[in-house]
Amino acid sequence: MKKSNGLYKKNTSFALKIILPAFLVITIFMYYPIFNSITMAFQKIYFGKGEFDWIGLKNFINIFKDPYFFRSFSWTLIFGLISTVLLLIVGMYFALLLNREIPFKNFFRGILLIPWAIPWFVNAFLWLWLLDVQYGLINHILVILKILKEPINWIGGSDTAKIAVIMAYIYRVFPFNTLVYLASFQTIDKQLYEAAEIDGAGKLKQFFYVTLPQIKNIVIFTALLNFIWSFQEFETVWIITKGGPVGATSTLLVRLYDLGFQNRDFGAAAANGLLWVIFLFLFSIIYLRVLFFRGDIDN
Amino acid sequence: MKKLFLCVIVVIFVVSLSFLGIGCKEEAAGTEEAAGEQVEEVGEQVEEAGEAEESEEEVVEKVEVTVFGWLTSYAKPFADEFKRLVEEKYPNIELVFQEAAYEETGTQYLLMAESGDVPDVAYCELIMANELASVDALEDLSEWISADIIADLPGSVYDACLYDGTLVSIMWDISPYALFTSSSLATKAGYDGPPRTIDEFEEMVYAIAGLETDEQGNKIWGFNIAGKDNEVHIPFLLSPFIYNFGGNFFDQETGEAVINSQEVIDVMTLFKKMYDDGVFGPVPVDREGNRNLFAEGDLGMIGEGPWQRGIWRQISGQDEAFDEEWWVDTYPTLDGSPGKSLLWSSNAAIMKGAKHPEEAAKVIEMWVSDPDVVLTYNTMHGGIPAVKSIQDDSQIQDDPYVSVFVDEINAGGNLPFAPYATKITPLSSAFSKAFLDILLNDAPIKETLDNLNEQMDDIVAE
Repeated sequence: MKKSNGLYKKNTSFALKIILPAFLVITIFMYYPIFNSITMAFQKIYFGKGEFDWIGLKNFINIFKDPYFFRSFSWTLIFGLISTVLLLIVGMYFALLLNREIPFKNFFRGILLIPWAIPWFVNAFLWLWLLDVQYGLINHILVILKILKEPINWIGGSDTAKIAVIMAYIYRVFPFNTLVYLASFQTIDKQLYEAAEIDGAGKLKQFFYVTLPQIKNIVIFTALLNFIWSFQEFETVWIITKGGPVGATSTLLVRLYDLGFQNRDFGAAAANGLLWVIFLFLFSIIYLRVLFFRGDIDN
Repeated sequence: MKKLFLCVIVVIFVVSLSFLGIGCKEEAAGTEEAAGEQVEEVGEQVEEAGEAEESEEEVVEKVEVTVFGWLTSYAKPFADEFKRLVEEKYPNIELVFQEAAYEETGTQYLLMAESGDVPDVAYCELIMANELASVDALEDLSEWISADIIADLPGSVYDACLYDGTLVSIMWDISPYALFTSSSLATKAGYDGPPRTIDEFEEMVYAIAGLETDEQGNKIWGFNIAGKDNEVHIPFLLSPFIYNFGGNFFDQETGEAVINSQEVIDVMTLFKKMYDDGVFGPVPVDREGNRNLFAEGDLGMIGEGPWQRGIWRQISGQDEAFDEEWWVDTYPTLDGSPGKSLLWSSNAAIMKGAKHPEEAAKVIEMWVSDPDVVLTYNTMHGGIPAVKSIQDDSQIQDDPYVSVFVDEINAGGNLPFAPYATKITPLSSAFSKAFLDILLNDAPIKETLDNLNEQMDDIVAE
């Protein structure tokens, strides 16, 4: 007994020594900034002077007085919901397409990854140019095909700017969904399809009654990931519209950046960030609890 | 056991080091003996050479003076020449440029001020300088810069560089905006010169847009100003029109917002009408996009600073030949006199805590008043010197391009929101949103400007 205690102590001390450097790094670069940003949410910060005043809940009260906060909040939710649904549809469509026996299948699978692989800000600039009212390719094609009479100023209207941002975001993220769905298809037992075929199920029925139930967990988790990612989206919106016009495409993160790095009101930005994290945390818990409760997630 | 082993290793290490030392000493002693006579013979010469070397070392010992800012991002050849001229005049100075993106520079300076890790010379614009001065991060330049150079600044320039009565920065280039007109489009539309009155301006905007499309089928616009939400461009580029209609952003005496005045309502009404008629636009567009439109021959008129000549030579791919494609003049006014403009400037400052403030002051002095440096910048980028002695130089006086901007300085104007340095971004953002709301969302002009007025007062009072 005594011997094993010694071994335990020795192992514990060794483990602590190993963990310590990582713990220090995480503390300095993660825990401290998190703690600091929480305290900043209750401060008025005089940036450049290194001074601050404690102002209690004033930053939070100001948020709820700010009309742009509600606009950003509702647009963030709408953006998250629409993009999550579209990512599911587009991602699944391409996954099904690339799961079939088509010529150059591997080549197309490789090509598919390009939007995901290129830097995100490059993707945003690409769309900014594609959507340009004067020289943009999209307008050009739509006019040639006579779908449009004259070019649309995509980022000049509230609704068109929203569509533009969603298109650019979907283009960048859908390869991830496709790849994940494609991988999950390979785990489905082929015999299930054979059985369904014998029972007279067509391709559509096979998809809804065999494929989808089999990859249900994957779909749920990618949807959750997509929704959370949409909350973190910044580059696409900032580069294409800067949150405009008149705040129409400003997500919570853009609003946060605007407050912090444009207006240099870091207290207000931290309060915004804190609310945002709390919302996301609550949403994730409720979402997962509901799914577990309903038994949609098996394990 | 382990301790014993460690001790043995340490002993071996120390002993081997000692032997190595002895070996070196023996070798050195041998060499010394052999060279003994020679050393004695050349003793005096060595001493003299030694002294010379020491004095040379003193001269060569360089001080690294850092210049932070976005200068190298748009004026690298000038920066190289500036460095050469400074190092030639002051051999003990090594000028090092630290490049920053313009958009990030203001925040970077504030971070630097907070951390204490500051550059020697801060390249900034007036807004940034005032913002830094508001957090007490800048040196009083009257303590560092020669009184002669300060006296050489025109009164208005000197006043603009003061913050609470202290000279916190110094202008090395004044860049007022002026109105550029596409000569080829205007000629096609039947005009032989730029507009002088607001009525002529409006007429020309409609006439140029009336050309409809270019050879590739792209739409031709009459006039446009760049800017999206959260950017300073919209209020800045609209300010000459507000000034020349007789309006302003804030009352000069009371400091209260006057953006809902009848004059500003008139400006907004004009722009809304032009936007609705499809002759003003495309809105919103970023600055590079707007410049490209002009360079491609799809935009009739645009407001820009003196640097624009160089930019168009570059982006048009036509170099100096592109100078024939445009006219430049002061902004139009109601009565045709030279219009007020947006007075932009490039400043230099010394931040508190700079490692080499004395050398930094020498660099700034050259930047502001050395004819070679100032005229080189003028040649390359069209910037107007800040000091009177060089403003009188024939290169400045005789260049018709530069003289337009000199006229523009004389016509007056200001930077919008200039008195409220730390509030410039929220003020600009509120203004841009109101302007775009009127244009794009048909927000009622009077009501929107009333709300903006209230917002601006609130922002300033915060």
